[in-house]
Amino acid sequence: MTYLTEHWDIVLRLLWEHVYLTGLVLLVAVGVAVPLGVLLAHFRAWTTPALGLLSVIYTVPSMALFALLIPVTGLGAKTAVTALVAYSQFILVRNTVAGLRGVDPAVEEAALGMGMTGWQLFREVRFPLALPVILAGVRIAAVTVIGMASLAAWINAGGLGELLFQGLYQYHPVKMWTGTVLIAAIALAANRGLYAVERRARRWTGAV
Amino acid sequence: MEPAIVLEAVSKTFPGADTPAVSECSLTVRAGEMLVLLGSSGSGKTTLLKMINRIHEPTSGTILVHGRDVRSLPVSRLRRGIGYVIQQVGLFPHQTVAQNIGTVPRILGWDRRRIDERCDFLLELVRLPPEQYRDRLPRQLSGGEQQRVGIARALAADPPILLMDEPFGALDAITRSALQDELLDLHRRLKKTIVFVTHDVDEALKLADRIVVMEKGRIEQYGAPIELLSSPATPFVRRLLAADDLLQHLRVLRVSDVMEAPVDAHAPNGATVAADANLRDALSALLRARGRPVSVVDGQGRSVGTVRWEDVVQAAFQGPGGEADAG
Repeated sequence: MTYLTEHWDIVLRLLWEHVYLTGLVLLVAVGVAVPLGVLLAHFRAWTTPALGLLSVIYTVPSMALFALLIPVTGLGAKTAVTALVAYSQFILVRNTVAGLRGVDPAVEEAALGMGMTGWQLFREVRFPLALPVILAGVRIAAVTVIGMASLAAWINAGGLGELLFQGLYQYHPVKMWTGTVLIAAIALAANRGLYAVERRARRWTGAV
Repeated sequence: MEPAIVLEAVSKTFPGADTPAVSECSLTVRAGEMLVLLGSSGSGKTTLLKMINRIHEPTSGTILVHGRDVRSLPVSRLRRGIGYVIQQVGLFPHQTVAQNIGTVPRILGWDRRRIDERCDFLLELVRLPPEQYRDRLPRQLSGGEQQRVGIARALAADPPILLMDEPFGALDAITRSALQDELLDLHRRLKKTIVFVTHDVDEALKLADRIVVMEKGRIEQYGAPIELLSSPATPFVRRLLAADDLLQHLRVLRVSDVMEAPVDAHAPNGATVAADANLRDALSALLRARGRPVSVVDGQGRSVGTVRWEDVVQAAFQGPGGEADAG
């Protein structure tokens, strides 16, 4: 336990790195996935092949994905972010498509019948109504990425994974436990926080 | 008066279909009338309706709205001038009743105050007290209330034309009947041109100024309800409308069309019938009065005429005041 009292600054730094890494991944991943999902919801013929491709990435073990990327992006955070963004695309894109497709056709017909343009329909009706499903995807992706980001330490990208690996190699149970508990805590907090946002969105869109 | 909508040889074949959904339909909708498209499912009535606001595009033929080809202006602008009501209502679930009603005015850039005033006016019009309903969400409304809001939303920017696709089809019988009465009242007050699609013969007879009977994508016959009943053009129309049943004829004739000048010697029990009631109601009142003349009253209960047994019998065979000219 003296490790914690003596090295709390290291633990705090790793915690911050971990949060920063996952936050960055999610930001980039959502930035890619939502526009992609919007396009796929529109061009139906592309949906199945595109989601198929993303699901292949999703099934590649994360260690293998890191290893595959190292020759391209080298060791470090860049590789970790790239791999985790690619990994989370499947969940995020799938939910974006499902959310947009799930909008009641009668609501869309009424909106079009009233003379909304395509953009107005998207901004005022389709996107707000799809939002809870999209946010559910973000929540699942966040929890997954937080867990997988532990492996980023393996390729020198930092984060609480360092504590795990050190604990493992040095047989240092306190390090292992600290890492495990903190990662779980971030995941739980993220899940809780995002679930609250999602619920608000759902209540707002009348889906309850 | 210039017709509100003109359809010239309009056909529609959906991609991949062998037979046209609508074929060679020509039709004139008069300004201010309630025109009912009547037919079974698959008759093409809904397709025909949805070509007017270009939800569907005709394969061939021309549609004019107020004399202008519907293809000559941007589709969103065309639709903002035509109210649209569908069976599933399609209220935006994430918006309040007021926001739903304000959709088109908002798109048109009205200021906030004008939208609020218009919204309250329309809620009053469809008999939903504004202070009670304005801020509710669609899911907090019954089916009938939702469709009232749907109608208010369609009327928001005061379009001269209203398209209604089986708007009361999903409602229970009591609510449906109440909404039909209110639509008639609304039509009388607002003088909108309404094109109304239904598969319900009773509804068509109750609402229509004129009925268009459709079958297999074609117009079988169109004209005033009494014209269709007294001279059905095809066996299909005769069967569909039960034209051989004289009670059907009585339902589409108004008391005001056959009543005579008021007289003093009325049924002693004081039986009355409203001037805008149909002759079936009059027949019922006459039966209650054991065949003696019944006093006809206006909305304020003032006596405006008399209806006799003979008037009803004669009307059943001849149509209103002998002007039943076959269309």
